[in-house]
Amino acid sequence: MRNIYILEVVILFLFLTKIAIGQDIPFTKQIFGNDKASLKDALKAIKDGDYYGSNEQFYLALDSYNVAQDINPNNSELNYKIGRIYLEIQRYSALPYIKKAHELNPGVAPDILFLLGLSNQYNQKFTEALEIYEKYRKQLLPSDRDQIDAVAKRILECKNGVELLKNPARAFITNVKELNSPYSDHSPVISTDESVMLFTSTREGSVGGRANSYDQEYDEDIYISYKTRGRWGAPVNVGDPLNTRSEDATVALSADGQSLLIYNGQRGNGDLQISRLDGDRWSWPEWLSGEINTKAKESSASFANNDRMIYFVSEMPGGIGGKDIWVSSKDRKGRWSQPKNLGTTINTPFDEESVFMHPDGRTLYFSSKGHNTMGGFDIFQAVLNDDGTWSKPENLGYPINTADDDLSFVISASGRNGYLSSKREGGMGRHDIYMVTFLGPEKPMVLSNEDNLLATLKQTITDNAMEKTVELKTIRLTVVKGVISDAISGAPIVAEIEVIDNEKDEVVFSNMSNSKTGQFLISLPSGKNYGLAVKAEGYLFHSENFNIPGATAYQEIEKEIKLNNIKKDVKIVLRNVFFDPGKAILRVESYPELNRLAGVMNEVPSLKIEISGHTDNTGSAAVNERLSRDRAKAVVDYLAAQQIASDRLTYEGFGYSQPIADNKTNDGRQQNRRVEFKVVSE
Amino acid sequence: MKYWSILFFALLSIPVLAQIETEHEQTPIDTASTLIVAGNQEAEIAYNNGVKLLGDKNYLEAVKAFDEALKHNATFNQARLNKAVALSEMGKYPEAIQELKVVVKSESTNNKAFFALGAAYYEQGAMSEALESFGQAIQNGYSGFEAFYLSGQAAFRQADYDAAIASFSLALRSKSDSWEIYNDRGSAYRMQERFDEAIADYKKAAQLVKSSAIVYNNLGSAYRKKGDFESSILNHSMAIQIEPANHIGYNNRGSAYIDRKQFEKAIEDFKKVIFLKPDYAYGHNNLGSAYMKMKDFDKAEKSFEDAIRLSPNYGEAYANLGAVKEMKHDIEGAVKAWKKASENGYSEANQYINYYKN
Repeated sequence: MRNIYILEVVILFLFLTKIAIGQDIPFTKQIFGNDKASLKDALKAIKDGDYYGSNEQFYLALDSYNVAQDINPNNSELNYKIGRIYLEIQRYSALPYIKKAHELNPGVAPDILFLLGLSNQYNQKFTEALEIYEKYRKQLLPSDRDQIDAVAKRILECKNGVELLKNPARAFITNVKELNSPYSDHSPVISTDESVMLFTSTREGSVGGRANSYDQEYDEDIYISYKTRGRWGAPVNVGDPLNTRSEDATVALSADGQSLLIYNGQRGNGDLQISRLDGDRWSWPEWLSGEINTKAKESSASFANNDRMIYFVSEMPGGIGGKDIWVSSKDRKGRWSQPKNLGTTINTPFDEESVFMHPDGRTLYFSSKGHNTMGGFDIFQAVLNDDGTWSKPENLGYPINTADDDLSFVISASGRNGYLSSKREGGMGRHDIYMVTFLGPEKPMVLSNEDNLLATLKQTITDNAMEKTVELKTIRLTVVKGVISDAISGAPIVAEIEVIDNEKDEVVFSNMSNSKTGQFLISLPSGKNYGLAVKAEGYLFHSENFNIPGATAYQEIEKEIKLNNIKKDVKIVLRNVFFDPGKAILRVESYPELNRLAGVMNEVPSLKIEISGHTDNTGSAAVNERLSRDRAKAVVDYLAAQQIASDRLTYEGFGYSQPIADNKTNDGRQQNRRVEFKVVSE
Repeated sequence: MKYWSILFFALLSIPVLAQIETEHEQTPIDTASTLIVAGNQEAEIAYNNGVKLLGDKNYLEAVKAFDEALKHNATFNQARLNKAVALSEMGKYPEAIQELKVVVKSESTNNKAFFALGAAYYEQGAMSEALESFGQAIQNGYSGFEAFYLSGQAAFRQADYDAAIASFSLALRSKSDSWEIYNDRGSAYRMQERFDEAIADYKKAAQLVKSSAIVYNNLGSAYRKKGDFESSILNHSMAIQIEPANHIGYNNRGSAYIDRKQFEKAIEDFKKVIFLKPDYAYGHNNLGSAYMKMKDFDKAEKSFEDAIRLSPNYGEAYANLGAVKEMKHDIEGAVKAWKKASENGYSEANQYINYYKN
């Protein structure tokens, strides 16, 4: 009996000694001695872990391995196994386990060095990873072609990482805790003004109501959140008809927040559907018409050019390799045309994912495993040049990108805030949504120095020296948003909004205001003269002009548009009628507006109108009166040329006798220089 | 009536030039030119008394004596001129200018009166008027270097560096051993970013004076502007060696260390600045900038706040404070600081604010 006791003491001593000197402790009877229960529990847990692991039930595997790890944390093989699991589900957490496995037994597995490299890489320890990968590469035989290629790619990624870490992006990342859950939260999509977000989550409470056995996540559902006073509100499941008992995932939201693209994996290996917001109800999702959906998987997409184009990701044949980004335009019938591959500047032999076109119509964001990624998918930015070519994609840099996958990047129209999904240390669990706050250009430090520049002057002369500034990148975009309502009752109106490029006489945007709220939102890239026409049944149309010079930086304009019924004496200003200065010659940019007026006259044959010309108070009354009358007549002549009967048209020139704004300001004078029409008879 | 006029050499009444002269030779009072007084010459008696009092630096009594002279002879311009000199010595430049204007009105070629008038304007800070009067003095034959030198300084202070360089160059023709003039011309070149010429002039000044912290600081700053930070540090170190308590030398050398990305050394120098002159807001601001470079945002923020506490209208420190708040992710605080920067003249802050507007 005493001998057994001595043996137990010796075994315990050996066990403790091995721990103390960091030795690999096997799960064997020699080590555990009489503690058979612990050994049994540990071996069972390892066996269970192996089973779950081989079935890709990684979370269950991890739970089992951890039981054994609690009993003996110094087993190289178990640490290796736990590290491998983490490399599947939460890569940044693998390092301590893989490192320990390697320390306890450098020969624990043939790929231990490769995994040690990976674990360092996923913690942005690129220099350490590089050294380990190089060591691993030297061990490989020429026949290990796949491993040679894999490690070569990793070495390249680490070299990129070293460079990218030297100049971190001027941005900070915050976990959007208001939106995230312990489950996967990903694929955020936002309206242009960042007031609405929809995203995908596998949290409890899904319409499907089932958690799968592999990762205990529920079916993907779409959630919505609204931003008020700078904070995201509690997300709400959008429910039927967007969310089904299957997987439902967000893909893209149109600039005005009225159309949503969603991913449906039940057809063609994964296809895209569209749903439209009618009041506060999303319509039943429809498959995108035309050539976008194929037998291959279409996974992500982005509207562009006021919803007349779609950039999307597909595995369809004919690409550069893996998933590629393609573009398709809407034809006259509203069907999506034959897609075009964006080519080798953007697409690589590796996968591209998560495409997003900024509302400026030029700046494309996407994730890629190619280019100069520092590991997995990194987010890149490329700009569409005037000649249709793309600029070289630029990695958005650390901390926006990490060595792990960084996906689903979207950015507000102002360019100040972006959102992405990834798994990061300190997250709430699995994939989380992160907000990227871009800090804009680097602010130079201002040093203050002074010298006695004039020898005999006691007073020093100050010299505030500023460091060199970084070029300011400006987003040249105007967002016009507001509400359309009845001029008398104030009730919201569902109206058709058309934006016309006045110079080209081309409709660049056409959509309806929200039927419940009357809200609308339009993105207008700088550099054009736009006419905005708002039409609704039973109302006279309303027009606005937005002349936005090319250098105009990002701005938001709020516009409340009140529509008038067709009633006698109602006056409407024609804001898109232009004349040469001091002359009564109509400029061609006026034709779209006048054609619209002719259209109204044709639709309401009983309508008779008086066209009146008005000026500001610069110059003599007589000259202004003559000019305003001539201009009114020019409008009437144009309408007559469009087959509007002359007995329905009269004209008058009022000079500056009927101002609608203060003539003391430039803006006021501009408003006073106008042509308007008055309903003479309904 | 025969009398000899005495004009106190007006430059004695000009602090700027007096400073130069103290290190060279003092212009003596010309006692040989006092008036020879005939009988019943009350004006002349009072005038001679005034001259003596002026020589004794009893300016108040001198003014009274010259007034007495002028009471007896209102057209006695020498008395009026010397009264102006006494008034200038007392810092009463507006009164001096009044008197000198009377003199030049009645004697439109009196170059000394014009020079004295220019000098009084200069001291009063009226540079345009000073330049005009110096021009009249030179036009009327004033040949001393002083008119050119002061014209150069007046032009410099009006930021007309071409004119300043021209005037300093003319001054150097008649006084080529003046380190002050070389220094000032060097400064004018520096302001025009003609750093090589500035450095050459400062070096010449340094040869002439040998132990002036001012010249070595200026030389160091010119090198820094040129981008030669090593020479900059060397010359500021010379200034510090000459004058170990020279906070300007430390402040400028610290800035050169920042340019060389030697931030620890910069911090050391700025701490020394604050030790020597605790209320020197620039030192705190620059220390904050060095901490900012070290990404020690808490210390940087405190330093900028100290600078602002010492100088509440310090726009540049507000701009820097905004930058550190931005890096600490306090965007609201950053915008607030930049608004203060803008209010205090740092207009670049407006574009920072605009970025966060929408």
